[in-house]
Amino acid sequence: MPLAAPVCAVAGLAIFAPSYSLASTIVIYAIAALGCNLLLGYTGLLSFGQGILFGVGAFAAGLSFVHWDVQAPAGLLIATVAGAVVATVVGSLCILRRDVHFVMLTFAFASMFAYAVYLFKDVTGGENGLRGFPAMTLGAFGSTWLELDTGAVMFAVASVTFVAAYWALTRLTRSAFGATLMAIRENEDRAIAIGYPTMLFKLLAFTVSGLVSGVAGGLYAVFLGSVPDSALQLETSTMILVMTILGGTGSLFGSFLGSLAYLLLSHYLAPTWDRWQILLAAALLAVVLALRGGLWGGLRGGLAASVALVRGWVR
Amino acid sequence: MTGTRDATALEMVGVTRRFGGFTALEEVSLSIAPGTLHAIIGPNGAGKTTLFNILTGRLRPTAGRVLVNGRPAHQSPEHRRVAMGVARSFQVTSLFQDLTVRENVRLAASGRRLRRALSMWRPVEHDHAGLARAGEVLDQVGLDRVAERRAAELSHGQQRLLEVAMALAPRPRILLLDEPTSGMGVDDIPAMESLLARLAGTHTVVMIEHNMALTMRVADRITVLVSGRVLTSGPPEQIQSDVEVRRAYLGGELEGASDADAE
Repeated sequence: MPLAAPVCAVAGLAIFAPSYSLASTIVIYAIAALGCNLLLGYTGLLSFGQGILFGVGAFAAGLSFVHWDVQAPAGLLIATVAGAVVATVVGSLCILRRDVHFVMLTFAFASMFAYAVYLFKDVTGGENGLRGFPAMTLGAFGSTWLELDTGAVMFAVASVTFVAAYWALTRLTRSAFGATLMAIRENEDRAIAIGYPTMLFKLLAFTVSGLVSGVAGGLYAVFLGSVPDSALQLETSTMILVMTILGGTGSLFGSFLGSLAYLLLSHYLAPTWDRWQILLAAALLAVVLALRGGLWGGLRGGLAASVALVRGWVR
Repeated sequence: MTGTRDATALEMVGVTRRFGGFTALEEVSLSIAPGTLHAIIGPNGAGKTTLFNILTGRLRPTAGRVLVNGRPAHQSPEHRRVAMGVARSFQVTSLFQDLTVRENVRLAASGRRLRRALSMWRPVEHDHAGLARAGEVLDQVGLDRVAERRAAELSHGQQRLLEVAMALAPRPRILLLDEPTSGMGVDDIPAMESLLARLAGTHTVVMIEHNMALTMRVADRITVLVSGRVLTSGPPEQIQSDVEVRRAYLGGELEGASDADAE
């Protein structure tokens, strides 16, 4: 049952999206938004570091493709581990402070990583980004099962990863651990007073968020066949945050909707209107001011209202 | 009472706490016998909250020791006090507002079982022990009928009861209640008073309370704190008749002993 929502989401994309390329991008950022949502929506931690984790995943995968000539699955695994490790290290320092101070620490780290891309040009390629990937293939231990040469195959790989991440996070958010994260979100002082070492829980939330964001970054590298310098920039962090808030914090399906809405807007408006992000900002305003629970909250409310209406007619 | 290790549930020995140049508590010594209800009273700014924060581990004493069941506790952090059998409620209601009443109490009941709380895969409904304990406590405080509501939807009086229920959930031997009737209407007070009376038989209770009439009725002993020092300690009758206490703090407030709202 918990698989129904993400499977319907990717099936809908496969049928209705104008291209596999756009569909893949939506799914990849939906995974990144899931990672963000665990921190923001479930734990109450507003982190500007999500772009770091995404970017580190992308660069880690990219470097493994360029230097070690690994196939896609190994690259994704490396991206996942790199995301988790960086999240744990960055998180362990950020959680030493709370509230605004916490947010500023994540912001400082995000800026630091953004500049590091240009500081270590030899490794990252600087402004040119990381290029020269071998042809992407699915396989392991020397054997290759499938060429990742069509949009459909790439979309399938991204979709499988998305469904797996969604399922895992559904389990996690419904577990005792997830319940404790929500307690921390609601009232950290009380959570401490009733016996929970909340620092440990917040750190683990960071680690899991890093796993999820890292694999999203890795997929991004596989999908593009390169890693642009923008992957590690602050704009990636804000983009992931905006998607998460737009879709609805505290609901996993909201993360998908947020990515969908953001990238569809961008797809249809950006080519004809440079300043399309004004509309995005307006949408964000509307959601934050009026639609508590984001697009998903609004959609669910609308559905409940129409069901009630239809029931009224039938009776 | 002092001297023997097992005779006291909770003991403060020469506790001093300074904030910069300000001394909030000075050389405070207290010893609380197991199974008694001990009230701490005193005017605003007397150091009651600082004293509580030191007992719960939120603050460390600048000097002095805190002993729980004879064992030093002043160095262990707040979240470990629960495992030592100490639990607290808050003066300003401090709940998980967006979670259900039952979930609030389950979280409190399971707080000392870290391994279970770290389980990321099994559904939270499998926390049978925590849910069973939550059910018991909700029955005990009379909130079972509103268990599935969000905490934010409760009335103020019900929220105060939930506040105490969360302190009770981990089966503490020592309960620290910070103004349990704070902000309660006269109608809600009898429910809290009967709960306090029942708790006093089975737990060691330390309570800060401003409602003098209620304190005089339920407390076994009262400590009067003034300007960070213990002015006197004794049974309610003695405190009530103590001239020094009246002059320093109560200002005749006790004469009637019938005022319900001391604020």
